[in-house]
Amino acid sequence: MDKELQTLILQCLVEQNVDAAIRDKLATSITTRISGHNKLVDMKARLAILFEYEKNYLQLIKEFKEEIKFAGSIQEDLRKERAKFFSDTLKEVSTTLQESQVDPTVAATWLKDLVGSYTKSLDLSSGLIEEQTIDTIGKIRNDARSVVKDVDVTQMP
Amino acid sequence: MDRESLLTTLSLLRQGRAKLVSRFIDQDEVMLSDMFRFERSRALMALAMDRANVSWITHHYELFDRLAESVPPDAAAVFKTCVLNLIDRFDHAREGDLTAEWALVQTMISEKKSLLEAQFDFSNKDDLNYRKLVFAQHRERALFERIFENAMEKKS
Repeated sequence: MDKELQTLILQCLVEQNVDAAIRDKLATSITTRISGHNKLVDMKARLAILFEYEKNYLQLIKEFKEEIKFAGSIQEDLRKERAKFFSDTLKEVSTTLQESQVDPTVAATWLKDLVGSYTKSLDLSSGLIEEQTIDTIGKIRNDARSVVKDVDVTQMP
Repeated sequence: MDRESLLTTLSLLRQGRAKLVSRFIDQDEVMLSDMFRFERSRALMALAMDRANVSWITHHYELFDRLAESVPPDAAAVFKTCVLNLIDRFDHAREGDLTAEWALVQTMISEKKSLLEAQFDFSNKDDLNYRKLVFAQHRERALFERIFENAMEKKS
């Protein structure tokens, strides 16, 4: 309960010569009601700010929807390619070498080198996609900062 | 990098990887015959792999060359960096190998790197650095043959 408010009310009641027997109860009751009303007003203001804040965020996500989808789809393509290489392509290459009667030790050496080169190229692609994703996140963050500035949450009650 | 440049670079790298696999699936004649020719010599087999790797790197700028006119400048620069990174893998792969053959291959790789690091315009066939790059491909083929011959002579 707001002690300061209660003291103030009590002082008023004393000045108005209100019966000392009911003064304390009356002051407590009035304080409780006023505090409840103030809380409601504060809450409404707070919710209005939060609503504005969320609305701007949703707008931001809508604006970047295509960029987010694009980053997701190229990442997915690369993940699929990597999985396909290890699950199908390597087997196919190995079978081809076997059918050509290449010595198994020789085949293993070439396969190891193939994995090294293929993985290196995949990793380079993945690095480029990562850079692009970081760029997009940076743009969203910058815009999000201006959303915060526009709404000014520091003024929240 | 913009979206178009990123997609172009990713596509070039993907085509490079496709080539890496197709050489095995389509049974590239030079590669497959090297696998039989040098099956008893680890050193010569390693050289054969170097030859295949250098040829794969070269394929990257052949790809690039085919697309040169439509490639955005941003993609050109990034792709060049990627190819240089791919070369680094081969340069480091044989650290500790002190053979004369590997020294020759390393020189070849270094030359390839400096040629790629130079400024040039892939779309201009008269560009001096571009002509040097094309010339280097022919030279590499001949040099590898010479390295193989020397190594085999030494063996016999």
